Parts: sequence; structure tokens; C-alpha cells
Amino acid sequence: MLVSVDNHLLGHTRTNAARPSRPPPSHRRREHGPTTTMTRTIATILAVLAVTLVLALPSFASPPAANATAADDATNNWAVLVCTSRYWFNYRHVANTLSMYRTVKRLGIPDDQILLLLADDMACNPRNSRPASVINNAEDRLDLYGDTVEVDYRGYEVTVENFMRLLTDRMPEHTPRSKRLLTDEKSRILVFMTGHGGDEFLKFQDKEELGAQDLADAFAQMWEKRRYREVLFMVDTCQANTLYSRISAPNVVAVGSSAKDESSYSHHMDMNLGVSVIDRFTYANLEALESVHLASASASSPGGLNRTSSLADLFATYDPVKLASTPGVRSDLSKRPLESIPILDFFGASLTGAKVPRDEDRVVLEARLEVSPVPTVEKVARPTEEEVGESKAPRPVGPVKVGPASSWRAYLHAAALAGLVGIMSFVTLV
Amino acid sequence: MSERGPAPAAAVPPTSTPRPPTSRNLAAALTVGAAVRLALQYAPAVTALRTTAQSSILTTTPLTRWSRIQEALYLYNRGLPLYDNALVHQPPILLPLLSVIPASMHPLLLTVIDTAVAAGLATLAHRQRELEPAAHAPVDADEEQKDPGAKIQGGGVAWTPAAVALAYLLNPLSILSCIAMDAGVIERGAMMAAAVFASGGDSIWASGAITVAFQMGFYPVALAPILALIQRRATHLSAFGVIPAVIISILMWNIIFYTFYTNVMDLDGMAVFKATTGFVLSVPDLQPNLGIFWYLLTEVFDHFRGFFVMVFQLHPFVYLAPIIMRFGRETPIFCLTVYTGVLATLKAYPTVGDYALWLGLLPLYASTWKYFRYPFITANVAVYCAFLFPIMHALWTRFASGNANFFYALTLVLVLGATVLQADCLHAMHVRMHHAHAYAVDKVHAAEAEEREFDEPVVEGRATAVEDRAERMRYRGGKGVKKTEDEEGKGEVKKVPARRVEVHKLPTLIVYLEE
Repeated sequence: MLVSVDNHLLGHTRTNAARPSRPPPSHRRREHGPTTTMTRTIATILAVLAVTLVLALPSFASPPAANATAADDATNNWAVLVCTSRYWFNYRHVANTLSMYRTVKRLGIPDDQILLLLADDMACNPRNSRPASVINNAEDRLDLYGDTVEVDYRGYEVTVENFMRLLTDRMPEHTPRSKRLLTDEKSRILVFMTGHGGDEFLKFQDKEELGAQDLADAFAQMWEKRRYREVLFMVDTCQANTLYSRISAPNVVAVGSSAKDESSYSHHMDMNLGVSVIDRFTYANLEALESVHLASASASSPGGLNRTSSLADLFATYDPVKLASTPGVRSDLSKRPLESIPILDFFGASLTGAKVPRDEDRVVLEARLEVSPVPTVEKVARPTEEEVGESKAPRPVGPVKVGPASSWRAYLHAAALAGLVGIMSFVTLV
Repeated sequence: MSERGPAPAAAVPPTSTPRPPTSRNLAAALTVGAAVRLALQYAPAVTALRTTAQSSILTTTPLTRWSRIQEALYLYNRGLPLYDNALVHQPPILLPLLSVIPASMHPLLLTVIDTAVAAGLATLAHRQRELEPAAHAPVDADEEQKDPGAKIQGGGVAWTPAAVALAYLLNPLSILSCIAMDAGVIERGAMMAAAVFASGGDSIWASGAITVAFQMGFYPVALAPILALIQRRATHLSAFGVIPAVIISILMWNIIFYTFYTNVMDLDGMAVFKATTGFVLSVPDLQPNLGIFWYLLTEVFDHFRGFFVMVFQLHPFVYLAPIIMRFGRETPIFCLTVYTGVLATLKAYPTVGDYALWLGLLPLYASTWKYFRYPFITANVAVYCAFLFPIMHALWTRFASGNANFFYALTLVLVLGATVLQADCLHAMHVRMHHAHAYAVDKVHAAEAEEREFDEPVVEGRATAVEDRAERMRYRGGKGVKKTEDEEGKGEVKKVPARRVEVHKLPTLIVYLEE
């Protein structure tokens, strides 16, 4: 009846208005042959299951990868170094703190993660005959102050309140990051305090005191707020051992320079400056730590320390005769025995999965090691240049060994992907 | 009724899946485009341009920057964890291939992918003529008499598939995006591959490709229903099961990929998800870019941030249903075109490449360009933005004599202009389809009238001679057909049906209701 109109106009005709739009069963369908949509769907689902099974096979076959990150190991290191004394005659306390600062920086803790609190500025003190420098040894001319020191709290900012706020992170919102201890539950913190102290107190700025109980409360709060994994608390003051007597938070190792009713003494005086430049306890620590280099795994001297030494080794070097006081160690709160805590866990930077080899599985590292960039003090015999001279290419050395690029992984995965594409092509051909 | 599409009883001879055009013009266009890109990527003379582009925030984002993929390759080749850092946000599926190909050939790879995008555009342009007759139905007798062949007439240019490819390849935005080594090139390659597969009827590869694009940047998943509808038009399956089927396919591909990551590549699936899709969804990195997220999210208070992020992420998906309902059945490739634009405007980390793809898809519907209402505004906005974006950014960051608001204002202007253009596209397609529908109805009426002329007496007030009618149809232009002098005097002139009323005043709903 109708004139034949173009096919795409047929939909507008009134006679076709009621007819639903359905494709004819024969035309324009892809030529699948006898298979229907249902068959293709089932085949697709089966292929997917097969592919998933094939891909999941490696996980059934092999045990979990041994290089999985230990979930409860620490991943970052912080240091809080506090000098609480004011005035020129307390020069040695600033030198103590700056010596520890230099040591931890040398061993790898970045400046962002070191909080340096100096109650007074010795370097620019008008009585300093070596302006803009701070030394810790009368013989050598090692300048601890240098160009790269970053003091986070200086002068009158070093107060008990600021120290407590720093530990517990109860800071105003606008406090800059450099003044905050931004640790988390995977942090190891070295807290080093020096100044004048007494029976369960530490004097700040000649004006106020930090009590042992306050300190213990601060650590307890830190534990509750998961702000650390382990803490090494070191004190170099008179009657220092009393300061850590009240700590109850777990995972704290505490070291003090002298027992109750004992004083800690300074080591020696520099005649040009006219003041003592280092304390005995800190000097003993430095003497031991100066032989620790990231680059060397061997002992620098018989009985000396190296990067694999433990805290027990470090504490064993303290000689009460030389110190003229009885240093104390408190390790009852620590889950690890002191023999199995490497020095670098606190004084250096740890990376993910850090495992410093102990004696039984000490690895002879290849000679491609990096020499420490900071000039070291000549006090202790260092590994001679010949031992580390074989290092050709400077490679970063640390607990995680960054290997060379190897592309076998890429080829394997690319081949697996190609196989996947092949399987899916097969499915589409069905 | 025009939405119901071409008749079931099609007289078109059954063809197999349309082959992509292999004409020499297309090959020439692709070669020219590739040559331009290779020249700019490898010539030492334009090193400064490359360096600027690779670090510019207009062409790269934290999601897609190539330096981060290089970081991922470094970690991957050494077996180190890929996503422990906050830098890498691309899925690991890219890494085996990029690792096998040497680094000096990565620009070549991106050029190849960009050229493939252009070839995909040409394929879509070619297939669209068969798949979407409703978009090309003639609107008046002129158009019908013209034999369009493979060209789409619009803007004074005959848009052959080769022309479409060339327009995309020579678009400075896409060239810049390619030189900047933006991973979005790969994402757009995957999107175009998905569209081409869908238009060929291949649902499995289409969903596979769109899954790759989804893992690279989260937003291509919104194209899944549109691809389903394209595939439906290509294979004429029933509409009921197609959209869920595509969504299930995408889930299936995701399961396959994540199983691959966790078992073959020894990665943590949750870490991969958080670093890729989680990053795009939670927008933690607020580096300035072409989009509108960063400024608003820097200002928002923390306790409202979740709400705002949720609303912003919901926004691009809100337009999916209306566009599909209106245009999906007849012209799903048009939905793809419009939605590419919507996503480029409203995504979290847009680059100029996203806009380049959208502009590359626009010539597919060049026949609607004459119905644009605001071409002057959109063209001007495009020019302003093209010049002022680098200037304002430099004023802000290099010369410190402007501030973020200068740059941010431009992002608002760009979104405004792009939205106006998208609304214009939708309106123009609506008007065109309406005109085509009305023309077809008139033709049929005329044909029936011509037939009936010989059988029945002419109804009072009804059509005059067929020729008069045909002549008056030429002057429709959206207005009702004016009565001739003959008809003036007749009493009960039967009015022309309502669908001849001026189109611009017709809301869309009436067009639906009257079917």
C-alpha cells in the first residue's frame, strides 16, 4: 500500500508505530554459527575462572615471599637532643649535645628528624674566642657548629613545657613541622638530655625543673598515642640514673651517667676558651661511637665497635673508673635484650626491614661501599683507606640492599600478560 | 519516534563488522601527525619546549606525570615495593611493557598510541555512519539529494575520517600532551580502543580496554554504559542485558588484573587500589591544574572535606543517566562525545589532553554545528584560556605579581566555556534530530498524500499539491509552514500538527510524549 520509503524512515510511519523495534533474527547478527549468547556467556565465565585459577597458582605453590616487610619493625629514626643549661660556663653541655647531633647525623638520621634544643648559644657568645664555632676537644679543631647545624629550639624556647609538648605532640595547630616530633608507631627515638640535674630532676635554664615523674608520664602518653616503637633515653647529668627511675612505658632503654648521690664530671678543659669542653660520659660514648661507620663492617680496633655492634657492646665500654661515676642502664622495659639491639637502631637511620647482621650470620659485604662523607675525628684508629679503597662505584649502603636493575621480572610479567591476552582472544573466538 | 531508530526490517545488506578505513588519506594523515610528534619529541632544537611541557601543570598532573612512572619503573626493575611512596599512582599493568621497551623509545611509544587514538577516531567516524543513521538523517531536501558518502558536512568542511584524524593529530593540545609524556595518552588510547571495540561489537576487549583506562584514572568507568549501548547498536542485541553485562565484564577484568597483580607480580592488591583508584577518589594531592577541585579543596575545612570530595566525585556521574536516556538509544557515540567533554571538565586531575580528545570527537557530529547557539562565546573562551593559562600561572609562580586567584579564575572560565559548549552540543543534536524527524514525517505524509490523492477526495483544508508542500518544507527553518494564498480563504483549515511548531520553544519532554 505504501510507497517504498527509505528504510530509516519506516519508523515514522503510522502503521509501524505500534511495532516494537526488534532486530530481525537473521540480519546483522555476527556470524556465530550455532552458538548462542548464553553459550558465549557461560564460556566467558568459565574462561575467567580458568584464568583466575591459573594466575592464582603461584600463590598456592610457593610459600609467602620471604622478603615481606616485617609488619612490626621500625621504619624511621628520630633524635631529640636537649641541652638545658644556660651561660658560658656550661659550654660543655652544648658541646655534648652538638657532639651527639653530629654523630647521629653522620650515621644517617636526617635533619628533619633530629630535634636539637640548645638553651644557650655558645657559638656566638661574646666570650667565645673562636666565634661561630663549638668544639668538644681541646686538641683537635673539629667544629661542631659548622654551616649545616639546624637548631630547632634555641635560647629561651627550651623550656620544660616545650619539651613536654614536643614529646607528646600537644602543640598549637600552627606549630611548624621543624619544631614537632612527628613520630609514629614505627619510630625509634633517641632522647639525649644533658645539663645540671639532681635527684629525680633536671634543671632547665636555671629557672625550672623537669621531674622524673613528668618524664615518665610523657613517655607513657607517647606509648598510649603510639608515638614510638622503641626509645633510647640517655642522660648525662649529675645523679642521672634517678631521672629514669620512674619510667614505666614499654620499650624504653634508659642510660644514665651517674647514680644517686654521684656527680658526673667534665672531661677536660680548653685553655684558650677557659671552660670545659666535654663531659666524661658523653666523651666515653663518642669514643666508642666514633669507630662506628656505616661503611665498615669490621671492627676498627680490637674490641672496638662497628656498625654491627649492639647496645650491650656500647654500654660495656663505659669504665666507671674513667668516668668517676657509676653509669646505669635500665633495660627491664625493653622487649629486646640489649645484646640484640644494634647501635644503628637508635644512632643511625633504619630502613624498612632493617636487619643488621649479627655475628653468626655476618655477611662479608662487597667492597662497593660508600665512604662516610663527614670528616671523622682522628682520635680512634679508623679502617685504613686500603680496606675501603676497592670501592669503585659509590652505592648507598644500608640495611636494604638496592640491587641492580634486572629485567627478568619485566619479561616474565610481559609474557604472562601475553598469555592472558591469548586466553581472552580464544574466548572471543568462541 | 525518531528515537526508536532505524527500522527492524532494514533493507541495508547485512555486512560484517565494518572494516576501519584504510584509505591513503588516512594513512597520510596519521603519518603527518606522527611525524610532527616525533620531530618535537626527539629534535634537540626544541628541548626547552619538551622540558617545559613535561613539568607544566597544565599538561601533566600528579596522577599522570611521566617522572613518576619512571620512578615506578626503577622500583619495579629492582623488586622494591612500588606503592610505599606517595608518588606512584599508575597501575602496575603498564610496567612490564614499559620496562621491556627501552626508555629512549618511550616517546615513540606515546606517539604510536596517540596515532592509534587518531586512527580510532577515524574508525569511529567511519562506523558511525552505519551505526547512527538518526544522527545523519537529512533535515531537508537539499541534504537528502546530496550523496554524503563517507563525509560529514559541517563547519564548511567535509569531515572524512582522515580529516577527523588529522584534526586530532594537529590539535596543539594533543601535541603538547604527547610531548609532555603524559600517561593520559595511554589512558585515552585505552578509552578509544574500548570505543572502537565496542563499535565493532566486541564486548570483551572493550571492557578490557576500559578497565585499563579505569585503573589508570578512575573516570572512564562512567563510559561503560555508553560503550554497552554502542556495542548494542553494533550487534543489535537486546537492550535489557547489555549494560549490566558490561559492568560485570569490567568487574571480571578487574578481578583478572588484580589477581595478576597479587599473584604474578607479588604486589599488595589493597596497596595498588589505594594508590591508584583511591588516590583519584580522595584527591589528596592539591597541586594546581586545569580542574576546579584543587582550589576548593584547599579552602574547605577539614571536617567538611569528605562531604565536598564526595559531592565533587558524584558530579560527573550525575549527567550519565539523562544523556543516556535522551541520546543513548539512537546515538550512543554522541553520548560518548559529550561525556568525554563532561569528564574532561569535571574530573579531579584534568589535563589539556582530555580536552584534546573531546575536541577530536566533535567533528563526528559536524552536521550539528550549524545549530549551535553560542559559538562565539565558546570560541572566545577557548582563545582566552589558551593564552591566559600560561600567563596567569607564570604571574603567580614565577613573577610573584599575581596570586592563585588569577589562575583559579581561569579554571572557572574554562569550565564555564566547556559547559556551554557541551550544552550547545546537546541542544544542537536535539534540534537536528528533531528537524530530521519532522522532515521524515513530512515526507511520509507527502508520500501518503500523493498516494491518497488518486484514491480519495482531498480532505477539506488538508494538503495542497505535493509540490507546494515540498517547496514550503525548504523554508521551514523551525517555523510552522505558512499557509499559501490558496489556503487562506479555506474555512476549516486543518492546522499542521503540533510538531511543526517552532522547535526552539519546544521542551524536550513534549517530543517524547507525543510519540
